Amino acid sequence: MTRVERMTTAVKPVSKVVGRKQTPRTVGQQHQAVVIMLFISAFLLGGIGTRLGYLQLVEGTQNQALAENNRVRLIPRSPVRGTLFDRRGRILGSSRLSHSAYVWPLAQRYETWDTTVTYLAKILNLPPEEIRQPVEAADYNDPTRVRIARDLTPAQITAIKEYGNLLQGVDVDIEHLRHYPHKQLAAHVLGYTGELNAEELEERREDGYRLGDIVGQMGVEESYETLLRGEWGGQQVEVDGAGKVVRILGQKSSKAGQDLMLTLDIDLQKAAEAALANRRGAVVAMNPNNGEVLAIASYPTFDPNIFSSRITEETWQKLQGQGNPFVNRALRGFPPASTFKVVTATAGMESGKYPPDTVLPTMAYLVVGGTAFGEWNRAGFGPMGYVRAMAWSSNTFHGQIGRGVGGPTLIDWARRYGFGSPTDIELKSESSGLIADDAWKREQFDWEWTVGDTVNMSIGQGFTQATPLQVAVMFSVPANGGYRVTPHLIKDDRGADNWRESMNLKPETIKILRDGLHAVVTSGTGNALNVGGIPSAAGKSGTAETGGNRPSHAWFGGYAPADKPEIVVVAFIEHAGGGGGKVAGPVVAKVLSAYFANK
Amino acid sequence: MTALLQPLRQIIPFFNPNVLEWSAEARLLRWLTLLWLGIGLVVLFSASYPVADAEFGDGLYYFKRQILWAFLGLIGFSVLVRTPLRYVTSLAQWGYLLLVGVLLIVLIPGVGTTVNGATRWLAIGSLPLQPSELIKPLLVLQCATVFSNWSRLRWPTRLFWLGVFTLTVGGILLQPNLSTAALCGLAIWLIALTAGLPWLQMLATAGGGMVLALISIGSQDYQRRRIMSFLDPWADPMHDGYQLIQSLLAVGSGGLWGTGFGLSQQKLFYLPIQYTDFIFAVFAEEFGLVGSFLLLLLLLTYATFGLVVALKSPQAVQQLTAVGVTVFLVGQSLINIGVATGALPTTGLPLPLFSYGGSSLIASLILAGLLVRVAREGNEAEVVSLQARRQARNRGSRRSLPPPQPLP
Repeated sequence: MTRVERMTTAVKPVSKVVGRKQTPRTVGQQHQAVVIMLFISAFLLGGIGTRLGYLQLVEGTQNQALAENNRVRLIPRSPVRGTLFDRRGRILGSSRLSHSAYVWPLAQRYETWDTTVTYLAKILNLPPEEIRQPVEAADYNDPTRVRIARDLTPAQITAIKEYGNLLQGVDVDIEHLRHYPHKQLAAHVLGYTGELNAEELEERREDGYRLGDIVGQMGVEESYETLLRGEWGGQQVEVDGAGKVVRILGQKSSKAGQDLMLTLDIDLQKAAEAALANRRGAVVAMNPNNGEVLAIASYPTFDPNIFSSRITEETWQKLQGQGNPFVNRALRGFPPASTFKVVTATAGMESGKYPPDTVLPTMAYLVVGGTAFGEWNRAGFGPMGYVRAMAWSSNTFHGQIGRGVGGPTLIDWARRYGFGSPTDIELKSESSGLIADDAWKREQFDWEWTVGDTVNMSIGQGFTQATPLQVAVMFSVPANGGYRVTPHLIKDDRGADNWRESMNLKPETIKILRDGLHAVVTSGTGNALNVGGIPSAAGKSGTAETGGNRPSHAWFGGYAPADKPEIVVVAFIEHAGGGGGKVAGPVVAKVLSAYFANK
Repeated sequence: MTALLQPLRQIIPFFNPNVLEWSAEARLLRWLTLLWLGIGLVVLFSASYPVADAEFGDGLYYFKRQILWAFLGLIGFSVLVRTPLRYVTSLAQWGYLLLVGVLLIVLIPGVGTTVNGATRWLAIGSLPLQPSELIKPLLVLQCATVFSNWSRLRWPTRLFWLGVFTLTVGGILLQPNLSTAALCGLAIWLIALTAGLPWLQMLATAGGGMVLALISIGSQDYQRRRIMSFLDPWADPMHDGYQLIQSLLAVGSGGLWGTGFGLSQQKLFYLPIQYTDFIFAVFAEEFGLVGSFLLLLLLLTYATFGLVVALKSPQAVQQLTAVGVTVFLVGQSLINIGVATGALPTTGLPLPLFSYGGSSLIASLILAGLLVRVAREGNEAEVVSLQARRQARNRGSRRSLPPPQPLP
C-alpha cells in the first residue's frame, strides 16, 4: 500500500488527498478528471455534429438520391410487338396477353432470399438455380426487375399471391407474348422471338435493349426487329420495403411496334407445306413479275410458339432430333441439276455461238477430256434443237453448248441469273450458293478449271450449288420476259420495276426458253403439271446426283400460265431418290392448283 | 382520498410537488431526463409504427409496450430520487452480485435466448430480460462504492471486487456483446480514474482492456466483419454493409430540416432494426440537421450538468455515481449516434431513452434517477423533506458501508 501511495504521489502531486487521512467528504475529489471528461464529451459531440453536417448537408443530396432508389422503381412497359399479316390481311403472328413472374433484386434481403427462392422454385416448377442466378447477377442498385418465368398458369398466379408474404419482392405482371396462330406454318419465314441473352445484349446495348428483352431471333421477326419492336414505355412507382407498389409516380406509355403486311399467302403456304408432305426439302412460290414471295416452305420445321415461353429440355431434344429444323432449306445451296439448263441455253443463244435455230446431235454419252458424260436414257435422242433438248432434258445437247461457249461465258451467265450471290430477300443467313470458277478451283483444289468442269456445270452438276430461292429467281426470267427479280417478303405499293432489273435478253432467246419449258410439261419430263385445275404450265425438272451412294435430290421448277405467268414454284426434295419430274413435279402441281383454285 | 393520492403523486414525476424544493441542477436534470424520454417516445412512435404494423398488425405494438416500460422506469426513477444514495448503495451490492450471477447463467447453453448469434436475453415467461442492460445502474453504484472507499479497503476485498468487475465485463463480452462490454469497461475505468487511482495502474488497465478487445475482435468472426464493413460498407452492400448503408442513407436524406415527423422513408423496412439500434437514423431523417443538433445540444447539456453535479458533490461516492451515470447515458448515446452516422463500427448498443426495449429503458431511467438524486444531495440544505430522515440515519451509522467479505 505504501508503495502505491508513493507511486501516486510521485506521478501526480495533486492527488495527495488520496489516502487514509481523507474524510468521506473529500475522498477522491478528482476535479481534473471530471473536467477532462467534460471536454472529451464536448469534443466527441462536436465530432459527431461535424459528421452529421457532412452526411446531411454536403452529401445530403447524394444520399437522398440513393435513398430514393430504395423506394422508386422502374417498371418497364414492353411495347406490343407489331402484328404480322399475310397478303390478304390475315394474322400470321400477333401478341397475346399472359402473366409473367418478376423478382426485384433491390427488394431482396439476405435473410429472406433463400426462402423466396425455395418457394418460388416450387411454385414455378423451376430449378432454384434459374431463379437465383439471374437475380444475383443483376446490379444491386438496379431499380428494374428481373423476369423469372413467362406464361404462368392461373394456379401459379394464385400461389404467388397466396404466399405473398413469403415471396419478398416477387411480382406478377401482364406481358405480351408472341403468338403464332398457325403454329409451325411459315415458321422459317416468320422466325420467332426470344429473350435477349448476355452475348446478344453486347451487340444491341446501344439500341436500348436490356437483358431479358424480347427480340426477333430469326426470319422476318429478326430482320424487321427495329420496326416490329416499338418503343418501350415505363412506370415509375413508389414501393415500400416489401416491394409493394404504394403509388405510381410517373408513366410513359409504350408505343406499339409497326404492323407488317407480308407477301405470303396463308392458303398457298399451307398448300406448299402440305405438298412437301413431311419430306426434307423446300418449296418456294413467287410472283415472277415483281418478286413477291407467296410461300416458302421448309421441312423439318418447328412451332415458333415454344420460344415464347420456357422451352423444356425434352422439347429441345426432340426438335434437335429431327435434324436441323431451324435451317431454312429454301435458302441453302444444293446442286441445281437440270434446272440449270435454262442458264446453259441462255448462254448458248446470247453468246451467238448457238443461235435459237441450232440443231445438235445427241448421243449416249459425250466424252470430254477423257471423261464420259452420259445421256440419262443411255442412248441419246438423235439430233434436236433447244426446245426438244429442254423437253427431254438432254445432257449431251447442253454439254455441247457449254463446251462450245466455254467456262467463263457460262459462269458469267450463271451470275447474271443471280447464282452465286444472295438474292437479297429480307431473311438473314441466306446462302450464296456457289458458282465456281478457275480462281476458286485453283484455290480449293490447286488445279485449273477444265472443259470437264464446264460441261459438268452446264448440266447443273459439279461444284455448282443453288438455293431453291435462286432457282425460283432463275425461272422468273423466262416467265417475266427477261427480268431478274429481287424476291421480297414485305408487301408494299411500289411497282414491279422496283424489284426487277432487265437482263437485256434477246426476245428470241426468251421465246425459245419459254417454248422449251412449256414443252417440258406438254411432252417431256414435266407431265406431272399436265393436270386439270392448272392453266397450261411450263417448267423444268432436275435430278441431282449427290455423290457416294446417297439417293439423288429431286427438283422441279415451273410457272403458270405458260403464256402470261403469274406464279413460279420451285420444289426441292432432299435425297428423294426419284426423278425430279416424278417426285418434285407433283409438289409443284399441287401448289399451282391451290393457287389457281383460290385465285 | 387526498391522503391516498399524495404518495401516488410523488411517484409520478410530473406531479411531484416536492420538486420545487430541489437544487437547480436536480430540477434541470429531471426536466432534461423527462424531455429526453418524451422525445424518445415520440421518435419511437414514428420509427416503430410501420414495422409493428407489418409484424403484429398493430402499429402501436412497440409503442404501447415502451409506454409501459417508461411507466415502470419512472416509478423506479421517482423512488430513487426520493431515496438517500447511501441507502441505495448498501442494497446495490447484493443486487449487483445477483445480476452478475444471472449474466453468467445466461451464458450457459440453453438458458439464454439467442438473437442474431448473440445470447443476450433471459426469457422469464414471455418477458425477455437483458441482464447486460439492467446491470448498468448497479455497476455504477458498486464501482462508486468500491472506488470511493478504495484507500480504506484491504487488498483481498479490492481484488474480490476487481474480480467481479472483470467477470461482469467478461460475461458480457462472451455473449458476445463487444460494445456493451467495452462501454462497461470504459465506465468502470473512468470511475476509477475519477476516484484518483494511481495513473500507472489506470494506464496498465487501459492497455489490458485494449488487448482484451483486440483478442475478442480477432476471435469473433462477426466482430471482425463488422469492423471491416464499417471501413468500407460498399464492399458488400447486400450483406455486411447493408445496415450501415441504409442508416447513412436515412441520416443523409434528412438534409437541413428533415423530411418531417413520421415521414421517414427508410424506416419502411429498408433500414433494419429501425426501432432499436438505428432509431437515431430515423430521427435524423425526420428532423434533419437542425433536429440532430438540438439532440446533441440536449446531450451536451446533460453531460455538462451531470459533470457539474459530479464536481459539486460533497462525497466521493456521489461524485463517482454522477460520473458513471453520465458515462452510461451520454457516452452510450454518443456511441450509438456514432454508429448510425458511420463514425464508429456497427455495434448493438441501444440509444438510451429512444430505443425500444424494456431493460434498456428501465436501466436508463434508473441511472437518470441516481443522477438526479446525487444532484439533490449535492445541495443538502435544499433537500428539506428528507433531511430529518437522513440525519437520523447518518447519526446511527456513520460508516454505513462495511465492505463485503470475499465469498469463501
